[in-house]
Amino acid sequence: MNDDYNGVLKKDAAALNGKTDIAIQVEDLYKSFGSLNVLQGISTEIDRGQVVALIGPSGSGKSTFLRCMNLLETPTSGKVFIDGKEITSPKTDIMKVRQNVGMVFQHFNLFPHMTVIKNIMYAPLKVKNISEEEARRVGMDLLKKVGLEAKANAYPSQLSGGQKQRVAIARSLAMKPDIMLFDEPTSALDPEMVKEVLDVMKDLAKSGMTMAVVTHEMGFAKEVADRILFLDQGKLAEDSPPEQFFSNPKCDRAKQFLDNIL
Amino acid sequence: MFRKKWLMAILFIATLVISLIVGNLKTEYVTAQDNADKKLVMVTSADYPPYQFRQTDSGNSEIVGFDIDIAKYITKKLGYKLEIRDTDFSGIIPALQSGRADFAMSGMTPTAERKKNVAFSDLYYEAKNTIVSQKTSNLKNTADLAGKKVGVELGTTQEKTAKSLKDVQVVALNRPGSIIQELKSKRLDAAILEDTVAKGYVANNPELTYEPIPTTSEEVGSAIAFPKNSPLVNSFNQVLQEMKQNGELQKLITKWFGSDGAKVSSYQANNNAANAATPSNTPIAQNTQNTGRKLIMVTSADYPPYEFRKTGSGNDIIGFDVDIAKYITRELGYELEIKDTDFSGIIPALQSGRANFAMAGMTPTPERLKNVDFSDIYYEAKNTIVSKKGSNLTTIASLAGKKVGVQLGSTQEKFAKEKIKGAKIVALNKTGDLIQEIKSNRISAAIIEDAIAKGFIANNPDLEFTTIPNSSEEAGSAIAFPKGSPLVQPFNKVLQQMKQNGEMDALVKKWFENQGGNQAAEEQKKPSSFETAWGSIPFIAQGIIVTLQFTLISSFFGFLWGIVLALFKISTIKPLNIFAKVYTSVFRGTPLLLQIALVYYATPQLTGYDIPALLAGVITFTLNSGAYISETIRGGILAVDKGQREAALSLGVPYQPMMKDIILPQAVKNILPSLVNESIALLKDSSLVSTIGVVDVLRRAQIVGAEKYIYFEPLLVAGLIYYVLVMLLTWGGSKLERRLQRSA
Repeated sequence: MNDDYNGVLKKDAAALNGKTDIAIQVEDLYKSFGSLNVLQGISTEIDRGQVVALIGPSGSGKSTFLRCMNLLETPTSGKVFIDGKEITSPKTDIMKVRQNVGMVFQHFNLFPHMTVIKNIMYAPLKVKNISEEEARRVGMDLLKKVGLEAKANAYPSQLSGGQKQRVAIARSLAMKPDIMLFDEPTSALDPEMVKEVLDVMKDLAKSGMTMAVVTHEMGFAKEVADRILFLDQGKLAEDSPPEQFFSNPKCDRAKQFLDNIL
Repeated sequence: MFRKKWLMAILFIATLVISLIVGNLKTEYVTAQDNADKKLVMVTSADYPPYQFRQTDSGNSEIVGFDIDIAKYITKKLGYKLEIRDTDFSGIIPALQSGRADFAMSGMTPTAERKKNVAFSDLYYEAKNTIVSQKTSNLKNTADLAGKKVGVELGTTQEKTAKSLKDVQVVALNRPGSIIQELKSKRLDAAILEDTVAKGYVANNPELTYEPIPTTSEEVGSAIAFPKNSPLVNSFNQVLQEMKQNGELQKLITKWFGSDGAKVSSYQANNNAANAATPSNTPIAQNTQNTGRKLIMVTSADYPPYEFRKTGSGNDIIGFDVDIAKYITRELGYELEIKDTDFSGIIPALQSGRANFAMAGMTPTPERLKNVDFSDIYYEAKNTIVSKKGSNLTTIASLAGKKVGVQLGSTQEKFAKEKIKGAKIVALNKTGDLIQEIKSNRISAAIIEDAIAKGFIANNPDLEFTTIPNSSEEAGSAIAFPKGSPLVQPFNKVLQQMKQNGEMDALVKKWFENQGGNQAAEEQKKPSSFETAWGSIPFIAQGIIVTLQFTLISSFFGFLWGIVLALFKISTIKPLNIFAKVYTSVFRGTPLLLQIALVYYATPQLTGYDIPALLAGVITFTLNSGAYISETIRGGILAVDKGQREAALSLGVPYQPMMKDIILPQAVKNILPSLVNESIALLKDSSLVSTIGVVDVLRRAQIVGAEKYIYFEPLLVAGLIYYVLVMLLTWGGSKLERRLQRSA
């Protein structure tokens, strides 16, 4: 399946030309909601093809951090670069950047008034101005990859949670992004549906997609992630490879966190 | 299953209503021939003043006019009763051919084509065609009309005349009134109308002018039409001949055509010359000596039958007092100009010298005599007690301790307060209200002037009236003059003369005794008020089209405008934001009725564009309902899960397509019940357009009420129609809702 995603999402060499090895770079990021300081000076970078798991207690700022990466939240200060371009600069066309940064939400956020295939085709049609046939072809291929081609003409309300989330992933992939952001993609799912979604994500990771995943699935983080970023109280408390993080976390807060959930 | 039956019932009712509209004219005729013992049925198209037209707004919807007077005279002479039926002009000849009418008078010219289908009497009046146009347009003769748009009434000889002209674009409309309107709004360059008709309109529309078209050799004049081989033709011709000889015809011509409006041009002299063949009374000769001398009369044109406005055509003030004033001024060789004011403004107008005399059914009370002079009494009105049949309230004494209604500010109010001992006096604004209050037992009786009481009693069989014997005090109407006016003597002389020559009696009869046809014999045949209301359904139902037009157009544009405003409100651009908020607060914070009036009346004054009532209505409703809908839509947008917006943004979908394709469809689905609600409210609010003269369902119900002297029955009919329309709307709305629900 690994190669399959490459087949669907393959970009020509020219498109990748000139892109840096660093996909996402964050410099001294602050974000406050009123008097609540959610992010307090985070700096990190994510290399191309890397899979990063964002872990932390609730309220630690993981989701806000993730949402700053495509400006669904506007940082209070600090800079975010995507592919070397500063998206926090007002001169940047953020819409253009977002086309290249897919996002998957906890609550799927499928368009309820459109069928599955229409959900997937909508953005490519509207934004990329490709032909209807092309959009449908890409859409059906992606549905095949996530194992839902039979549901192409169903409405979201007729799907299970796991199916919805797989459609949502396919919808994001239809824009052929270089980077995928996952905001607790399995948190709203019944336990028996978590696996089907994680399987899709694993395949995607193996295909070389740059991914940032906010998750509580420690098994997934351990198995798939290249790095674990542990956030606590708006700060980056630890940045380690998964083997080290899970066996021997550096900071006490992480130790405590792991004790509580394992 | 149940739902299906319900649907069928609604469809059935809708079909019924539509078929009633279509069948309107036919049902009116059915019985015409059957009860024609000694009755002649005449058809006419009552939209052609001064030949024939309706007086509507006064609680009296008789067809009146030149033709009608002639018809009455002839049928009376021949010993027939006359029944008049109204139809479209194009329906007249079919009515004769099918035997549903005995004759027709409608200012008809006996053309060769028409002669193939019907028989004609001799000509009773020769009319000339005129070119009516804007004063500035300088269209003097038929040659000037080349390349112009020229309006004519459909199916008239004027249409034929216009079509015979070279290079003229002929526009045939249904009513002269709409032709004039089109002229004024410059959608037409000119119109060809008969001179008498043109004169009335031009007098009332100072920006228009008319030029007579020289008569061709062809016959242009009016004659009475009959079914082929009708035995009536000869006897009618005989009476017409007689009328020409005894001056009756000339009298009627003078009455209806002679002193219309203020414009008397050289052309009128021609007109009189043309009629010189018939023996003529002296007044016209006298008139010419004094051209230029003008008397101004003030009146308060809200007191039928004394003085009131006829709506629908020229909006002239007519009535008993007006006829007397015309007669007197003509006799004395003056031109007459009538000014309308509030009743309370009459005496000030005389005192300040802005008017030479006043006639408004005024009783010369001692208070008034202090400020103005009065002529002799020209009409003595008697007061009557109107009450329910069998209530036995026939004397003033019997009213003691009862609730007694009077019209506010009338002499009856004073009379009741002074003469009725121990009664509780209730003063209401309109006589119609008094009648209704008696019928609903809220008052026991009302004191009403006899002439007015008679009309109402004739149409409300459950009521009766008793005339109160006149007291010694003067209770009658007189003409008021400024103190010391030299006119009092000459006026009195003419009044005396009118009493002697029978003219006064004729006018009294004309205005007071013909109301509603109150002969006892006819009363028996009167249908109950519910039957009357039932018969009026087709008339009222014709308003459905107007009502629906308003509702649908305004709902549609109001919805679009509401979306725009809602987007402004959630926009981050401050000025748009503020605009939408102020806009909404203004339109929600002021009465719709006021908004309509403002749009309709202020637009012409501020912009010079004479906005048609229909357009003014649609604009107001759109603006108003947009304000309400915008709040609903804003709520709907905010209620859409914010994840939808984030999903779209994260896919790089720009704002506009996001709103259009993702947010609004979901918002609208959620607020659909509110939107259906809004259009239901609009449908009912559309009745407010009746205030600016649009004839919708409610307005039609009110017209029927005024015309037939019944009060709430036509309103019930209108209510039923609104209810059926709302049901249809509701049904359509829930169907739409179910359809949208399927996809979520």
